[in-house]
Amino acid sequence: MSENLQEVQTVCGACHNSCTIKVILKDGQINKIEGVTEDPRTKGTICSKALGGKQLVNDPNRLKYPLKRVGERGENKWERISWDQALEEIATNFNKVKEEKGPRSVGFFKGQGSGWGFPFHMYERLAHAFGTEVAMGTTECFAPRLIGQALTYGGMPLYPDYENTKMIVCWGRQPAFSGATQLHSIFDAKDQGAKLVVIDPLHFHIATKADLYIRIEPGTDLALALAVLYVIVEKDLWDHDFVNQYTNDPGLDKLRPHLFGENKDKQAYTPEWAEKITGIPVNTIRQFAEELAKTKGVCILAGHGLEGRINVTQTARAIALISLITGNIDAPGGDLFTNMSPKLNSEFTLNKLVNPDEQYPPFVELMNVPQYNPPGCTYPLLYMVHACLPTPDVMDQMNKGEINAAIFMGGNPLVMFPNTKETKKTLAKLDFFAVIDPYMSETAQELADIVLPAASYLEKTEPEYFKWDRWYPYLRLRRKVATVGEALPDWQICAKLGSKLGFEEHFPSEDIAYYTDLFLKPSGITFEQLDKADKWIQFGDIEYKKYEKGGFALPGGKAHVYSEIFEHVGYDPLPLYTEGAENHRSTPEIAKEYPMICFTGRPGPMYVHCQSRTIPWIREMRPVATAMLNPLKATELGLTENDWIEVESPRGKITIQVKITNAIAPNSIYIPGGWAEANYNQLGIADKFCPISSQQNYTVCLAKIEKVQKEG
Amino acid sequence: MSKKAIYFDINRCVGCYTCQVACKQENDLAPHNIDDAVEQTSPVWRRVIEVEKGEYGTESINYISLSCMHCADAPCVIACPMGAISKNKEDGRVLIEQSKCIGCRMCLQICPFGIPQYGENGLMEKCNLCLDRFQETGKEPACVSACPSKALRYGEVSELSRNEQQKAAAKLVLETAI
Repeated sequence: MSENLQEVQTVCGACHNSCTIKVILKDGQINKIEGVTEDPRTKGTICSKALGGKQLVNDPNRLKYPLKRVGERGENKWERISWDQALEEIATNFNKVKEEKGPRSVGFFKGQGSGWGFPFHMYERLAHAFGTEVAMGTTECFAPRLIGQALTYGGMPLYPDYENTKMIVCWGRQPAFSGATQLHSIFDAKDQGAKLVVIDPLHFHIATKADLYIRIEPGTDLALALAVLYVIVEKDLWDHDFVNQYTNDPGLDKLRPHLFGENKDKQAYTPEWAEKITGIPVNTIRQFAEELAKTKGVCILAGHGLEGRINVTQTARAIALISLITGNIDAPGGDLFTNMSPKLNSEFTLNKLVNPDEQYPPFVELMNVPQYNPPGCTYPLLYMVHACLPTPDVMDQMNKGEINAAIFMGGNPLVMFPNTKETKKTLAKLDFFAVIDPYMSETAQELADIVLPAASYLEKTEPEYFKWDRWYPYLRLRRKVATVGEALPDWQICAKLGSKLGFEEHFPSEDIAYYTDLFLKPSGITFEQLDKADKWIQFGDIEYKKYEKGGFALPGGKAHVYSEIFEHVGYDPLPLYTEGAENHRSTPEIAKEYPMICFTGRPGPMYVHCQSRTIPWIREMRPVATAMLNPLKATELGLTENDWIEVESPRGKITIQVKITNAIAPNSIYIPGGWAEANYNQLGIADKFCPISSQQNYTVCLAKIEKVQKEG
Repeated sequence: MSKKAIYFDINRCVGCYTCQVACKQENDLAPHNIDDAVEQTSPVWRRVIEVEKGEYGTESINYISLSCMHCADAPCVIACPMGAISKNKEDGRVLIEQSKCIGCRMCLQICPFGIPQYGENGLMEKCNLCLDRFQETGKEPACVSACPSKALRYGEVSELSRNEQQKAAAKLVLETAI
């Protein structure tokens, strides 16, 4: 390598999967970004999002300096101010509200953009020092799956054993979009004879390579999961030894009658019943259930496609029960538990300042039963597994004038929250609103008083243990390889603001080594060791059937077929079928006027949420939003490719171009998420919630469509 | 003699578009601004194309990652009136010498795959199997290294075909339980 070239290993943050990458610097500037061959997860591969990095640090749209609003809100008029002034103004406003109304009248809101792991815990440290909790967090995504799985078998087994698996089920999960660097492992498993099953309303990307593709009506996965359980029990294909010894329902004496019709609704969850709801033929349901149950070594990758409907948590639980009663949890070829992080300092987040009586465990270690629930939190399990105040509670408090000032780190609710109009009205009630973001997001532009420029993942140094697709137990250092204006890492902004708010004792430094050492204290790993490590520091091994020694991390030490914690809190201990908030069965009167099933999800392989729309190499591949529509429907409406349509739901309407494809069923329309210009959230439902996780029914609704004339 | 090529495994490609950006980054191709990106006017040396066929219910969708095939008897070499395109008999690369190109687009007329691209200067450009990268680092082409599915593979033509035969043979045994 010539003298002006330098290679730096770091951790990607284009999404929160955190792949190891290397950045090749030429004369100190980013020249190229590549994968790292030694990484056991990526095997040297990378994805399209990560490859936009060079243009991310050179993007003229990036925020370079702290800004203060000078015009009216929404006028988009700003003046550059110093960091000191910006933080002073935030601190003054926050402390004023705190003095008048208490610390819980200030919101510390968190979105996906700033990443999880360390920056999230720094943000918690800040919120707790102030006297409140972080709000929102992963309410919109992930939290329901976490609750459903954690309360079934004590955690999330996020290490699919691809090397030994015999069947991979992508259930509402699209690896071409999320966690693409695991694709090679999936195909290697397939070459070794593993069967690939994909359950998705859209027959595209990974679904096109499935051995068994199951097209399902959006929002009805719970019905399929219950019918699969029914067949497994009916045919006596469950793992007797495992269930009898390691779960709280030996003999399935509780689950069996529940599935066979002895439940509140007197409904037997037969494949015949499920066919009418899901649109999946009885024979396909039976074939899938029987093959799955007869296969030893099944990974079920449950994705975001299951989310955004009122039955989401019970859906996640029913799918978890399939893995559980077939004995695939933590077994060879199945989904394995790994150490998700090194042993973290449970006092790092200063939780005791808001919650003095509770030994609050870190994210990865579940408590036995919920004992602490913060004031104003009406979804105790969400708080228990995730330590964030639920979005609906917080929105409610803003509407009632109980939260008057807020800061938003790495989120863009004006694009990403359901019901844009109501969201804006609610957020506009805040007397003071600050935003931390690498870009002038729609939310910042419309509502913020102060905007702080955040560093991207290429511009900050911090420890990273968080992953998404496959939690290999290693800790790596993300390293700063670029500078954009005065943008600062989120953790450093937390430290600066903490000190400005008067908490010098908790934020005495702006040195990453100080916080890393404190954060990792019980693990014995220091910043210096991490910095000097060859590639990373491994903090655990891949082991099977750990429950044989330690049981499951739930009351009684057994996995919960019958959820004692759900029962304790007042939810159905076994999953009952509930319909989505709006469809042909639950709201037939609405279906008469709005006959199409209208749903949303990820925007495609190259985007995360609403991000990266200004990265030229990324945007070029998908420059505009297009709604997917079946050719039969297109013909009926006289539409050809790229024509414009108006999509209208009972809540609003948008115009969007069409992509005509048989990947989608004729009764449905798919609007990709994250596009401000054609935003599904104008159509989606914001006021119906999953009673357990608080997640809004924001990905499926009913709509009507019509052709419109519009200049492209 | 070393004849290297890229093998594309259609059964592994799920349309993640990584190869397309990897190529852009490696060769520092346009677009470099957002307007050009939205217009989609910049040269694309490797492109992922979605191909759909069949009726609803029996539909099939495939993703094809397409770039210069570096043909053994490349029609573009013969079609170019300026002799700007040549086949390197040593390593198998088909290369364009831009200083000789007049931008007449005869190569595009004749290429069975529509590969030739034309940049701001109107002159032909296309994949050179990452020649600079190979000469500087000896590495395989950027699209191949990046591909998360390992659907793109690089090597000697004879080796590529031998690998595919081995896989086919293994599958035969697996599927027939011999």
